[in-house]
Amino acid sequence: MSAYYRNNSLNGDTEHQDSSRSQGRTRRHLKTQDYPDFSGPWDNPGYPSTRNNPFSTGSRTNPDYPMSLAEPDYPGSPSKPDYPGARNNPYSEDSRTSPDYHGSLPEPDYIESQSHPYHPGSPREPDYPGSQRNPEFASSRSSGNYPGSRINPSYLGSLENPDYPGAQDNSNHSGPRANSNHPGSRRNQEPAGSRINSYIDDPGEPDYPGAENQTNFPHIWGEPDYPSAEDYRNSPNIFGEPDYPGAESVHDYGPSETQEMTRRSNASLGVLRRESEDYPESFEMSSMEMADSRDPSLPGAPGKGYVNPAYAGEGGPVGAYGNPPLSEGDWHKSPEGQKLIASLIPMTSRDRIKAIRNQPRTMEEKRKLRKLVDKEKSKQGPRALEVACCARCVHTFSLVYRRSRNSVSELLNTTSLWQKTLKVIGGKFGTSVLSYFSFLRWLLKFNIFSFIVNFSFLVIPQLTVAQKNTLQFTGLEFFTGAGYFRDTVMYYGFYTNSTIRHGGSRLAYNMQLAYLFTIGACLVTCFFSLLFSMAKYFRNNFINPHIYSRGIAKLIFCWDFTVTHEKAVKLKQKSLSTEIRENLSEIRLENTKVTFHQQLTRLSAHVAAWLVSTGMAIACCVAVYYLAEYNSEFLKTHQNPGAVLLLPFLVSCINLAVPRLYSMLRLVESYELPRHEVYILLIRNIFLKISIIGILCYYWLNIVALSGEECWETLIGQEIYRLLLMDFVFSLADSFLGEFLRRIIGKRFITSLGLQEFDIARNVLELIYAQTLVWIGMFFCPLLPFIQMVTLFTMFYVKNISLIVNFQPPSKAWRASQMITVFILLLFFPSFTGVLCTLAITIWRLKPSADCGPFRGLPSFIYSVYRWIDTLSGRPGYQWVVWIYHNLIGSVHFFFILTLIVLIITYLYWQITEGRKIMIRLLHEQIINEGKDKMFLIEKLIKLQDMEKRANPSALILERREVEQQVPLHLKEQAATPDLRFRRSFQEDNRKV
Amino acid sequence: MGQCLRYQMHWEDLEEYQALTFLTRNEILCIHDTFLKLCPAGKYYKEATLTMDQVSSLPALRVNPFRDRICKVFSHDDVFSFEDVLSMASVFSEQACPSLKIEYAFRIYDFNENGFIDEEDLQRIVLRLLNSNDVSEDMLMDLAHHVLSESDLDNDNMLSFSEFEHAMFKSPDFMNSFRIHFWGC
Repeated sequence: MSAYYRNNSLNGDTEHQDSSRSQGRTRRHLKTQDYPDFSGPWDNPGYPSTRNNPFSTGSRTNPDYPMSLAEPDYPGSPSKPDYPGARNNPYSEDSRTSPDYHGSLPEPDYIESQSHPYHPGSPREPDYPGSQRNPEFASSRSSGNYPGSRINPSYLGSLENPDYPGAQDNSNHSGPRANSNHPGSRRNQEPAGSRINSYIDDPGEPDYPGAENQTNFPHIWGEPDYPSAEDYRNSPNIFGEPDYPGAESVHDYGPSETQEMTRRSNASLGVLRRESEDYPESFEMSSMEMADSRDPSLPGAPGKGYVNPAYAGEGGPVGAYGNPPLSEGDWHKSPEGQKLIASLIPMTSRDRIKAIRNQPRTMEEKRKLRKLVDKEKSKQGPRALEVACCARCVHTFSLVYRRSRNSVSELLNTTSLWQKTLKVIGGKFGTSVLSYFSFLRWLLKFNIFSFIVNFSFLVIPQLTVAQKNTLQFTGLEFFTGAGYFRDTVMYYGFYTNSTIRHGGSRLAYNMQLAYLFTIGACLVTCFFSLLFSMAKYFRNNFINPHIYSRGIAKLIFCWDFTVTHEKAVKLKQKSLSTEIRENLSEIRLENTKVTFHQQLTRLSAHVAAWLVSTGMAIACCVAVYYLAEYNSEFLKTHQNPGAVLLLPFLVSCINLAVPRLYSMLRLVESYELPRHEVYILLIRNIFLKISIIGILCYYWLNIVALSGEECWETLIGQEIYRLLLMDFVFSLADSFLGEFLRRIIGKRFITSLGLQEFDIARNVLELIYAQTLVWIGMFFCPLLPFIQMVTLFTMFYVKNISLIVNFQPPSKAWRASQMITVFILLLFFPSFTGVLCTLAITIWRLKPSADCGPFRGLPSFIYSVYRWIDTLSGRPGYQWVVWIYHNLIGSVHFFFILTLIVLIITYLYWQITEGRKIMIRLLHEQIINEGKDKMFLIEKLIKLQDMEKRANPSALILERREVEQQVPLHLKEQAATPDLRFRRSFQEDNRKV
Repeated sequence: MGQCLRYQMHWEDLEEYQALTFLTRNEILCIHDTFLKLCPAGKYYKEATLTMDQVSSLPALRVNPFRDRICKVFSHDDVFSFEDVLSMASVFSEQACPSLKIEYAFRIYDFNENGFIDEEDLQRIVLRLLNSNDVSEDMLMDLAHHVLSESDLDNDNMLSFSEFEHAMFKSPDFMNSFRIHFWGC
């Protein structure tokens, strides 16, 4: 241990030279803090009375002092009774509290003692009290941290304890110092003394890994054969002596000794310097952490139970993280470890494992912790013995359960689609492109679910009563969806309107209700899963994202660790560099005002772009509408079944071409933020796609449905099928031809174009478009989810291959998580709600075709439900269903009240969030103000210190010279018999007393 | 470069690893395999260690600009035992909780290991991120200044852990990007 300290101090030695310069600042201002304490004696009128006596005692006590210093924490220390005087001494009181003086400066005393060498000038000392005594300091000193450290000494142990001795040292050498100052003796030596003190203080520090070492502290002090400690023990005496009139023995102490001391103390200064670097904040931090870990109720919860050992315990120069050897395996013996264990015991085994898992520790430590907790737990519950057998049973059972659950989750993991492919994509292209694929997978899951529901509740029952299909199959049906497929389970028209009954069983299956309820269930499930995932994303990704920041910090700290491909890393670095530059220039731009002319140009460009894009969308809609209308006329006269593909072809062409035109608009408009550009592009594209779907819906519901066609539902179903299929074909062609050609062109012919980037927004919008079609078409073509399933499945592989072959990672930094939130929002808002509206109009308003489908002959689709309720009201067992229908679903009053309640709750929550926003702002301001306070105080201290320094150097030099002159004479004696010397000075002191 | 003795991992060990890390069984076995391929011949996997170079040349870390920091943070005495590798993978796994990730991210970014991310650390981070030579001193200073002005709540020109945590908790991208999926199989 002692050797270790030595090393430390010696290492520090070399650093001292520069450290005194570079780090002097912290030290300096810290030092000045303590002056008030020192000046205490001067101000204190009561002091003079004690002056004569106490000084001698004071200097006497010095050697042993460290022991008594440690006392508050180490009650066992024997020296306690010996220093009542010192303890009662007002200075000691004063200075004891001093360390915490000021929140940010946990070790002012070290620093103070460090600074002594520079400011030994006794004559100047008296000046300080006046200029420096700051009442605020005093108050904050006594009230602030000290009590806290008392209450919670274990946690802050390493921070507070060191202060302790130091502080008391101060009180101590404030004695001799005052003493020496008094007679105006220029041979004031306590600077050295205090230096030594500081040395004694800090050995404990660097190592101090936590409360654990505390016990070592006193030993070090008390160690009689610790040579340096011994020297230092004596030293206060030595230095105290000159103050005694006639105490010639001062001259006994050779220069080498002093030099050595200085060296050592310098070394200690080096160490201290490093500490003082670390501490000011580590203190704050730990105090913040403390709030967490003090909370005993939730210590294991993630984030709370997180006891930060590195910072609280090991703030020493060893390195904030590197566990000093002592704390390595034994941290759990330390108070915070104990606390953690105590908090873990009452938990259930699952929570405990989770909490242990969340500990930022090595495996070995975690294992030990787990064992320890288990042991404690078994120790704690003596009752467990009585029910040992039962407990064992339970234990085995839980073990089996856990294992089986593990293996099940393993199984699920392996079956989880494309796990590995996604990892590879993430590794090559980063999270942003990955988000497209996970969105695709998410949609696929949706469709699988819808397909399963539709298949089991509609298709299977229908198949049991299917009639023979007499239509001819040519193969072209795959594209048109017409012909042979018309009389299959694929379309609405094929389903029966009868109640399916098999054999003589009483079980009946009402196809009408099944049709409505199955589709309804699908949509409701989609609705809720969309809603919940949207809410989840919003919660996670929009927690006040840009209130106080522009996100440069995020840019810098959020390096994508998933990327494991060298080229991707290079690209990413490049793109990050451009983005950082952009961001910086943006900040500069913000400060520079744009002229009115520029603003006008920009605004007109935006307006023009918006006009062009909206006009284009409207033109597309009109074209689609007239084509659709004309097409239906045309098809009546035309015989070629392929002619029906004209409309889907046009729509797909529009979908292919117009978004690309839109992205060209960015050449005209110049957006300041690339993010804005992406959002604007998204809005335009979604507007285009949704309005095309809207116009088609209008056409279907208002023209096709009312045209008196035979089985118009099937016609709509076919149309949607064709649209979907054409979209799929276009995507395939785009991937295989467009992107491939683009790569060839970019690589071979126009190399300046380079490789293209994967356009996430466009691709995601294509997915959203297709999904909207599927949702609308689900009612007319119940197997559409299956087709979409196949489509998505294929698309995944096609896009994957195309991505790897044709693309390079996106150069724009893409806020993946926020974009995904926006995508889901888009999927929900215009797309899904639009689908709901369309279907609601269909079901409530339209008249089903007379000759086909489950609802044939009814005035409207919903009529089947009315009829069902009527029949139910005749049966006594189902009155509750009727009641629910009449009073809840069918009642206007109920919905009115419900709406009102929801509105009120929404309003209340809105107000709560508003209040919280204000609170957040206030708290943020408070933090800023506290920071300002701190800076202000520190500045003040620096100023004071500078003043002092300017005044001091001459005195310092003078003094040094003095010491050097005195010292050589008695070098040998001192070196040979330090103990003797100590004793003698002790006796002398006594004599004087 | 030989191979460790191909001891089958003990069932209990595997279970314990599963309990103590965020890894699934397959992932642990996969890391085990990777470890065996690298470690010196004739040693039991529990006693064998990998050097920092070996670990940082793993495909998962090979191109990571912070690989040396990652190795430093997760190794003990500059070597990796199997468990060190596991706990590293655990921290980078998808399931690891945010506070754990933030804790280790902080350690990784704290280049000078003084318990704070100060200007020096920030500049080193930026240099690694950009990996180009034309980063001007001005820009570095500017960036560090901006980062600090965003996240340094108490204006002491350093990011303490809690300030860092605060900033990162608000950034969902961090959770998504502080991951390494691919440990060799």
